[in-house]
Amino acid sequence: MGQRRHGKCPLGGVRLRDVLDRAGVKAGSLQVRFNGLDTGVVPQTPDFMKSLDIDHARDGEVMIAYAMNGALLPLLNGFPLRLVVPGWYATYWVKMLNDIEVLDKPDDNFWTTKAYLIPDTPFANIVPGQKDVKMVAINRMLPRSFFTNVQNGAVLKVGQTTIVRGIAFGGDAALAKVLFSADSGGRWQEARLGSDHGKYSFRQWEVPLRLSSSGLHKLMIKAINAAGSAQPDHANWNGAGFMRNVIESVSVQAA
Amino acid sequence: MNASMRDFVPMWSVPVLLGIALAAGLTWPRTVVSKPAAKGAANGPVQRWAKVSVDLPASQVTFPPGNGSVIANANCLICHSAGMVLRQPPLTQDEWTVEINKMRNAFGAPLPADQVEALAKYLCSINGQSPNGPPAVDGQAS
Repeated sequence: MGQRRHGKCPLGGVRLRDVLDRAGVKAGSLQVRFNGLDTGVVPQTPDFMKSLDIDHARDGEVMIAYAMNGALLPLLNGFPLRLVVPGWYATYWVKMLNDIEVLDKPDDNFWTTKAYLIPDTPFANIVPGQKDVKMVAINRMLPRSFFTNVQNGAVLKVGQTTIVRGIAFGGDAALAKVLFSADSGGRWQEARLGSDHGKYSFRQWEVPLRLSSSGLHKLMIKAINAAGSAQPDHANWNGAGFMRNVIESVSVQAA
Repeated sequence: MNASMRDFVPMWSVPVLLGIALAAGLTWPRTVVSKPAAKGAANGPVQRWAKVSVDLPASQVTFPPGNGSVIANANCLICHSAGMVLRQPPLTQDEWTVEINKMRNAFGAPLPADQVEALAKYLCSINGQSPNGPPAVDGQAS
């Protein structure tokens, strides 16, 4: 029985490790495969299943959630049970979980070997059309940050202070800091961070902004996690569009 | 654990364990990673879930008229909303062909092979671009 924070909704559930240990895991077990109650629209569509390595499955962080915000999981969030894999991309967060299978050989199912693959390069970044790239299963999340109360084209008054806000998360490590720039990335200042609900939770950030000259200003926000991973200046590229975490920016008009 | 979470505790151990299927190890191993825990007092009574029902909104949006829109409406809408398709990045006809064949080969879309070209032309006409570099899609199923 435990709780984890994803976003700011506390999740209630049980540790997967406790469930596996309750059943007993034999030596030689390699992976644990998860299946849910959902199926494709046509029978030819491969059943959606995802696997984790046995040590990951038993790390004490992966959990089977049944509650969110103190109530049972809503159907669209995976009622009645959903796998929660903190710090890993959501393809692993199998909804409507109804089957857990311990494997003694690597999972060769469609969704593990043919789908959700990324280039095995930093930020999963390659050049369009690049050939002979080693592909691996998508895995750990990257840090990201977002503006939530200012949009492109917003008009701010010169000389007046506006609180610029947003949210940020650290991905596979805790959020360490969030940096804000009001001059297209020339100078950066640390944003104030809101409540810390746990290593994997979103945190709110805010910065008081006072623009002293009229005209266009490009605001930028950058998250850096506890492992030192920072959002990059340039967007990554891969065929499936996975793991985008380029620094977000908005252009505002000071008048 | 707050009070409302505590309310859920009794229903746990039993339903979770019922869902497990173990497929590891054809021979009895000499060592184990973890032993089954003793069953006992921690088990509460079996609890039943309340039945829930959700009505998902059905989209009435179809593809814009044009040569091939009949094929798109008959096939793409089996799994996707028109809006989902129209919000993809603009692709070249060749890239749309890769996407269409991915749906056929990886996911079993029942689109006949002789309609692939017409559908790719149509999708390129409503959400397309001319080739201006290497293909931006890799046909990976995801």
